[in-house]
Amino acid sequence: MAIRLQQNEMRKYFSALKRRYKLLLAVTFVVFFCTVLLAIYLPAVYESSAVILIERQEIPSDLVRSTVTSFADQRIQVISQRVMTSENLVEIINKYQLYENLRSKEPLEVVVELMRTAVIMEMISADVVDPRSGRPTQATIAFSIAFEHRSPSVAQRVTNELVSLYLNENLKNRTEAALESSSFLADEADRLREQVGAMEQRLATFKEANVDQLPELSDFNRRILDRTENELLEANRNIASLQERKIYLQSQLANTNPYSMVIGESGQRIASPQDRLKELSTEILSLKSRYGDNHPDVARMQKEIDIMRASNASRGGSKDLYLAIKDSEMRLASLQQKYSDAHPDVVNAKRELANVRAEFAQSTPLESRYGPNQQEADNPAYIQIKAQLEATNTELDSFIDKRSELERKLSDIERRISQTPNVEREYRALLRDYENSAAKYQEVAAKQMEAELSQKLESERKGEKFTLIEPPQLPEQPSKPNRFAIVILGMFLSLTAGFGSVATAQAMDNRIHGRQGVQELLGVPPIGVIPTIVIDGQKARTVQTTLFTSALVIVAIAVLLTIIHTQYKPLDVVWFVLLRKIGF
Amino acid sequence: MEKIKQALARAKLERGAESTGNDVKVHEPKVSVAPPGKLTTSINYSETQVLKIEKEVLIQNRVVLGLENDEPTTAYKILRTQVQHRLSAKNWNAVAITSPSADQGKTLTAVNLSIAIAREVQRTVLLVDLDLRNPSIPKMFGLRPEIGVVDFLLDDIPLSEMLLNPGIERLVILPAGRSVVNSSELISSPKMGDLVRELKARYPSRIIIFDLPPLLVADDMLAFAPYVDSTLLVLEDGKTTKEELVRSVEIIGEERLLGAVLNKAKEIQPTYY
Repeated sequence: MAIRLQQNEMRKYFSALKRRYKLLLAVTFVVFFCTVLLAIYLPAVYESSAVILIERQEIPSDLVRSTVTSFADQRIQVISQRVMTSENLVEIINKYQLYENLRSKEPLEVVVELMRTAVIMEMISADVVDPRSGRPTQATIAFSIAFEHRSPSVAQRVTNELVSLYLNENLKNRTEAALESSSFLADEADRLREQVGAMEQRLATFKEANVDQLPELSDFNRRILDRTENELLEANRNIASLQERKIYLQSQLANTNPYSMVIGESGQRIASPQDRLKELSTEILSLKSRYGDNHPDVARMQKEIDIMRASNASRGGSKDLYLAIKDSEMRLASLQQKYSDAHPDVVNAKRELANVRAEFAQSTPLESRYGPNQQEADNPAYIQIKAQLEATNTELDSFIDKRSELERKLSDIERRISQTPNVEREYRALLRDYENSAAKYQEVAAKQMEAELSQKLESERKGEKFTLIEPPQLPEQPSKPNRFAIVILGMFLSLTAGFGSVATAQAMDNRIHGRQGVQELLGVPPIGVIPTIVIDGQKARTVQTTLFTSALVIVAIAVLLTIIHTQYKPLDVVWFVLLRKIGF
Repeated sequence: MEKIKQALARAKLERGAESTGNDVKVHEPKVSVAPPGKLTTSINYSETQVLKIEKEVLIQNRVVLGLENDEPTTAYKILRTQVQHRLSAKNWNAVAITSPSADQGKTLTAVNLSIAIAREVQRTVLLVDLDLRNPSIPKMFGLRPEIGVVDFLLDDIPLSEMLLNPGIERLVILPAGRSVVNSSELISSPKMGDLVRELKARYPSRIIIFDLPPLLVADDMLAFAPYVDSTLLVLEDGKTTKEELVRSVEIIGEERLLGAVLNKAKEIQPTYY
């Protein structure tokens, strides 16, 4: 049963086809005819193309690396964008008066768009091995630019124009890129240089400010510390010993009579006038206390004392006067202890004291009032000791000074040492910053140099460049349309359309056709199939219709041919052209 | 021959038994038959009007007389055979002919089929025009009868006055009469039922063909369906839609469908019988 069914299917199709053959033929014919018209009528378009090769850099890239780093096709696209701006295209359109018809009717944007579609850019690649991964890839080695136009000469000229635009743009692109790189790096280098300078300055200032506490000096400082400590110890020791000596000498001095004794012939010591005076003063006191002031011994002693005083006074020794003052003061003090101020002795003593003081004041304004004048002392031993004492004092003073200086120095060094860690930290930080800046600067400076080199590379056209290897030719054959292809395509298209329309009609048809139609629905075929009974009148009508239709078609074709003949080309020309285009 | 004799005898009997209580009085025409033994019969209608028909008219109306051996004739002959086979298989003798919609050639088919059957020697055919809205059978013969079934149903005019013979042997036509609007009511009236029963019973060997209005346009067929054994559905090639066909078959019912006739077929169909 399957076979039978299949046969039915086939028969169904065939019968459908047979039934609708008129539709099929009509559609096929019409479509094909239109296609043929199209093939004939489409205007020829000529394409003039040029090929630009991307030549690699002459100088090996190990030596000088280019700053232009994008892939070739990327660059070409970028350049394309720059070249094919509306501005450029409008210029070209005006220069060569392209699309004149269209320009008068449509806005400029439309014309520019049309031109864009007429420019064809294609990349030409080759199979290469990627040097980094070792895998075969495609690399763009060249590209072609073409322009389509109805006139071959215009096509050639415009393509030429485009080529020069591309080449120029490429150059501009590259030099710009190189320039940008090097100028950027120059700016950076400058900035960093300044920065490094500032750091250096800071570092120097810091060093200056902390000159003693620099970590570099810490060893040195320690040594100085040690030494200073030692020196201090020594100074202290010296001071101690000197002080001992001083005390010793002082005591010695105290025990030494500053005046040398005069030994008389009898071997008795002869007291110096001062000693004598002293003796007498002491004596008189005791006499006065024993005998009173009016006793002749007292008077006599007093007179001696006066004389001695007078003579001493004439010698003008302030030492004596000083002694005298002291003496008077002592006397007065003792008298005041015994008697009241009203007592005549006290009064006398006071008067004496005042006199002596006045004398003293008169006589020795400039000399030292404190101690015995060295000139006065004449005991060589005394003088010697005194001299030693003085020397010791001086030394002691100097040592004390030194000690205080050392202490100061010590505290200073200690302070330095204690501050060194902080200083060290800060110092190291500064140093590090400085070194960093310096390193960066070095780097950038190196890069800058490199960039300048590659800029040079570009400016001398030694970098990768575009070379026109195939200039645009004057096309002799039109590139479009492929009329033969159109016709062939038209045939297929028309057949498809024809069958398609048949299929559509069939699908949309809901009527019963033929015996099969009935059988399909009822399950049994019709029990009778009556053909259309034709009567003479009808026959005549069919013929009439056919005649009428054919006449109509003929008229239509004639009109069409006339149109072609008058508007496009004369028919015989068309005929020859048609033959040639189809391929004969 | 035998059958006709029997028929005649019965007719006589019935005419004799008119007062048996039947409401319907059917007067069958007297038919004088030639002596038995002769195959060729020439029936002389005694009461039926015999009309002379113009051949041109018939041809113009596409009536196939079956005298030539052309395509339509063959086709109708095949149809005839099919119909007869099926009828005799079920012992039926009445067929209703209709089509889904108008203008599909149902009436013509009825006429031509009747003629084709009539051409066969053993058969007589009664063609009843029940398209009471638009009676067209007489037109095909170029006739314009004044009275018909309608008059019988409404006015009780005897059938004998209506029957016609169009000059083709063994074919009798019962026209519709005037056209009426309420055809389906008339058809579904009991009188109609009786008529049909009577017609069927009168001559069992006679085939009765009823021409009815289009199925999907009017409900006459639907009303008439109970009275008739089978229905023949006439389709027009390329015009009848699938829905119409399906619908029609639904209405008729598969048991009652005698078959489908593809009319106005466009292709030359190879025969398979």
